[in-house]
Amino acid sequence: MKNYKFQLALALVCIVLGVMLSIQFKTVKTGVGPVSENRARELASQLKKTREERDNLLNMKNDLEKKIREYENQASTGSVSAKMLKEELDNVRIIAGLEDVEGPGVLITLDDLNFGESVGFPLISHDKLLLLVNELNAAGAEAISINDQRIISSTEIRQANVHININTVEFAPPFIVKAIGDPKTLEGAIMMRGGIIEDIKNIEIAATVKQEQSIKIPRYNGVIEKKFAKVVKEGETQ
Amino acid sequence: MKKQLTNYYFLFIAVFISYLLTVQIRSNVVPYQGIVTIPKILEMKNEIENITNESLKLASSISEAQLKLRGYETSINTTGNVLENMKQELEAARSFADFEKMEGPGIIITMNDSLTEISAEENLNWYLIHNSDILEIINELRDAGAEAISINGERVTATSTIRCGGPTINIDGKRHAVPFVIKAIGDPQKLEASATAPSGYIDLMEYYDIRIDVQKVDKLIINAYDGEYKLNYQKKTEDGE
Repeated sequence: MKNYKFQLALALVCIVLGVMLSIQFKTVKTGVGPVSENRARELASQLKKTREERDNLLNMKNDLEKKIREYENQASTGSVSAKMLKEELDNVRIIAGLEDVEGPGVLITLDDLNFGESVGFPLISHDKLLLLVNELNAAGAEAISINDQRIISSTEIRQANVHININTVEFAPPFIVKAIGDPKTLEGAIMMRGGIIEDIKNIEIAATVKQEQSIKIPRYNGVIEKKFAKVVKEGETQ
Repeated sequence: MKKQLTNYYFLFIAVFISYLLTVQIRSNVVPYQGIVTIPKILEMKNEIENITNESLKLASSISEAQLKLRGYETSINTTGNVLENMKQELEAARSFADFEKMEGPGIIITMNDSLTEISAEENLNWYLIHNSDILEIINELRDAGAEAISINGERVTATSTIRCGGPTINIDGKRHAVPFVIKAIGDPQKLEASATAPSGYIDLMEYYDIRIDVQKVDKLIINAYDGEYKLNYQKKTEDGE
């Protein structure tokens, strides 16, 4: 009897050990090997460093712009014409995409749930985004961003293998599209039967559209270059 | 005696298991990102690349802002106000928002529907120019660094719409029919190379005998956008928010 009890205990221990061993092997197999672990940690710290650097630069940029705005605000208190100049400057900057803006609109999320699996081609391709932006514009959108990249006059939305480049930044799904305008019109236009969202849903993309009372869209964060195009002054001969 | 031996066995096993447990827990706690997979590593690499790219852009906009600020300070010291600088700023912003007429070198793309005789099984749609074709071509021009673009004289802006209107294509609500003349100011070499690239969009259209002509020009003029300011819903986010 006693011997039997001892054997039972031993069997139990063996089972526990066996399970532990198999779990250990399984985790090793899925790639938690010491090499990739180190690599991941290295990348994580590098990522942290690059983020900090970016944040520092962003703060520097904001400080400089704040000083410039202070000068402009000061000047605008001088006279009526100066005030009008400042107002006009603000408005045109908003339209050019150089200011952070907010307002009512829609929030669209497009996610490819099978991304990264061996489909061989991306389900959300750049032409869908181009058409979506076009439809939003047709419905009176005043400002649009995709994954916080403001769409300005020179913004490209381009396929780069399985990724999509927007303002030269590379993105993978999900794509979060924000548009400021009349929320009802925007939603109605893209949700139309046979419209762009239905078209996107047909290719097994998870798409949600939500009306929002206040949406924030960041400004374009690069430098707009006009190296070749020069302004034609009125009154000049062609 | 026999009982004591069993106890020793148990002690030994307990020590061994607790050792294994400790090792197991330690090795699982340290990589805090959870299970490391290859896609995760690629994703991190991609993000580092993107942020570095963003930092480069920020660096150039910082030097631009510094230059601007210096200009403002010089004006304050010499004339006492910054109105002249603000006027320059306004002109620059107006050109970024497409409210200015622009001139410069670039390319002209002329497109017309195909004249090919087609058989009954073929779809005539393949031989026509659609709004999506024009969207793609504009997108490729932007990617090649076009600084100002127009289609049949209509300036293309950030909020332009190019839609199908049956036999016509509506650009910002105005009807246009073939031929379509797309003008783009920018580096003519780069624009032409992108437009005529093999397996580029225009190359694909030529497969259906859409008549396309790409021409480099030393000087072309592109009209200003003459629409209204779209400011009914959006407003500037105030500082400090």
